[in-house]
Amino acid sequence: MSMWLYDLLIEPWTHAYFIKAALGGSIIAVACAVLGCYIILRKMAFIGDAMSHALLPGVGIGYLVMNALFPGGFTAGGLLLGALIAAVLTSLCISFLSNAGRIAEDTAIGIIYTGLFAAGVVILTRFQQHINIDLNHFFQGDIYGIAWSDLWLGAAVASVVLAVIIIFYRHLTIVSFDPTMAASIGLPTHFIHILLTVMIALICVAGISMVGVIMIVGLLITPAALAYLLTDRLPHMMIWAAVMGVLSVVLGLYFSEWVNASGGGSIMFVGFLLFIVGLILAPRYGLLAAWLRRRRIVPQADIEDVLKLAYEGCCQLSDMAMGVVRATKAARQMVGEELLDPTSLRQGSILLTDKGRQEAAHIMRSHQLWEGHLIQAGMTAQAAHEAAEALEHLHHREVLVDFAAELEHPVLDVDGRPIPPADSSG
Amino acid sequence: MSGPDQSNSAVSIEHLTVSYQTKPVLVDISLEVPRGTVVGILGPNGAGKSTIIKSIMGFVPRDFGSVRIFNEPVDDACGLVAYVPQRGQIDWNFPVTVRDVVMMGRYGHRRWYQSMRALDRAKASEALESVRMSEFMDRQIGQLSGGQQQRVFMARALAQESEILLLDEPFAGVDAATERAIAGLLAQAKEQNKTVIVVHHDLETAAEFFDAVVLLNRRLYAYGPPREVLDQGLLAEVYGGKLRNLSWRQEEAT
Ligand SMILES: Nc1ncnc2c1ncn2[C@@H]1O[C@H](COP(=O)(O)OP(=O)(O)O)[C@@H](O)[C@H]1O
Ligand SMILES: [Mg+2]
Repeated sequence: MSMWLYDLLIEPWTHAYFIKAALGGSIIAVACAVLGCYIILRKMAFIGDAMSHALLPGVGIGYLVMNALFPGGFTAGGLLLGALIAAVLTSLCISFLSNAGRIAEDTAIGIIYTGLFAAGVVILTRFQQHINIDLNHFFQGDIYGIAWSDLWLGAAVASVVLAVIIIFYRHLTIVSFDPTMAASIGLPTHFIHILLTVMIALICVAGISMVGVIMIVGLLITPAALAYLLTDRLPHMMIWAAVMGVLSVVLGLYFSEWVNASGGGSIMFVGFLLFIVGLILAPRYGLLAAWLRRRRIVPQADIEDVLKLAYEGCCQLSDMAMGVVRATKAARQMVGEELLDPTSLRQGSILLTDKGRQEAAHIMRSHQLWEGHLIQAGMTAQAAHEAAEALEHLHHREVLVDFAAELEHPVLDVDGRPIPPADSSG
Repeated sequence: MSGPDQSNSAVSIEHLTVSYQTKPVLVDISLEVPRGTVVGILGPNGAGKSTIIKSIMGFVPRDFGSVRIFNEPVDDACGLVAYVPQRGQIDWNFPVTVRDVVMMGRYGHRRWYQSMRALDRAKASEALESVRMSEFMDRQIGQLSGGQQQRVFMARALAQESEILLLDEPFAGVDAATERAIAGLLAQAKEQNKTVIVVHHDLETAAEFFDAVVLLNRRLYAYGPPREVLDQGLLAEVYGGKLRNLSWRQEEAT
């Protein structure tokens, strides 16, 4: 292997800080991604955002309290507990405010999280000398500086979150999908909502020291959203989300090494790029697939024109007035709908099946009746013929019944050709 | 004791009054649904039909009155009622398959630490079979027609094996095949002595689907056999100005 590739791909793994970053980041990313599936399915993304910011006062107060109780010692527990209380409080405040009066939920979220975040900033800056939390750190995290204790905390929280999701998979899914049904079989929907909220808070606390408050929201939402584009099954979605989360972390760390940029920022930037790629290329729900699908749709009018031309005796694709390309596309579609005979199409000629003849007769009749109706309404024969070319595609049976009655059930059209009878198949 | 036959009552509502904030939605509703009947609830938009369904599930705070399910207060009676939601309440992009949805009907039969058993899977397949949706087992629910989606939720309600089925507008916007399937299921449920309460909006078909009809518009206007309840004068009173459509149909018939 060339030296260059070695430096690019292997060399970073020889540093303990890189390994720790990759390990810690991946652990958090997996838990975030799986939890994130429920967040986006429940359309709670905004709440995740709110929650992560609202943690600040909880973390600050927890730190102060633990410092007062155990000077200089054990603070991780205080941080977690403070954050949990803040999370539950946030979610209760939001649901109270949005049920209390005129304030809608999104407004309530905006008010509560900025308010609590501001309280956190005030606490942190007022007690600066007592609290060893750096606001910049809260925003950006420091993935290359994670301590073993951070790693253990992350692993513990991630295990708890994944275990809860596995154990309560059924309950979380049904409460997300159909809360009314969930309540009717006696599930505690409110408790399950709080449970989700608490898990978001836990994972935020564990992850903020690594990637910061904004990027943790990204890890919760972006990989899950990408997975949502890739599959229709919730278990698959969770696995895809986890894979994409880990991929973001590892590729992001490489990227940050190569260009010498912030680790947390690089992780989320790569995650974002992965999402964009997925958005374009996803097999079923991607933009490219949607575009291709739209292109493949043959206009109904083209099909009807081919039917009518074939009915009138035109039997070569190359003779179709619309041009051979459009006619071929329409013809292929019509074979699928059993309107055309496939064997003769392969030789470039058009042969209607019985079903095709029936449909074609209906379009013919529509054209002739429209023509008759328009002439009766005062149009010249030439103008009526041209207008009927467009209007014949409005061939709802009830319209034709009205026209036939109006023209006193004609058998010949204005040019003296027979009008096919209305078919009885309905 | 005199009065209605208590032992035969599935749902018993007495003086039920419900309001949202200050707006009264249901005023002094009393009605008794005997076991094994198929009841239609009719009324204009905003009449409180969905609200009465929700109060039979015990979800709505009552201002006054009581709802009893098999003579138990509704707040204690849990799992006796299966519910088919209104179409608009479901997120059709949710990544669940037909099979997943029907299995949800079995969740109430297992405690949280128990896993689903072969019996549950069998009941789910049976329910899917009875609405003729077995071949779509592995489809995501968004990739079905409206009528097929309705049938899946019917199957879920059947898999619940509840004594009481509540359906909120199952006939809204479905194709003829689904309408027949749902009507067949109503009949089938009745044969199994189940009690079915259906919110319905089409006055014309009410008589053929239901044993009894409730005419509701905030107050209870009538409750009884369809032929008696679907009386022109009463309908005009309940639907007020909104009856134009119906009278037009009458003119056409005469
Ligand atoms: N959660 C709610 N909060 C406030 N008003 C409500 C709520 N749900 C329903 N309503 C109102 O109660 C009335 C009855 O609603 P509903 O029972 O849904 O009527 P229906 O199902 O007969 O159309 C309506 O006017 C509706 O606007
Ligand atoms: Mg309703």
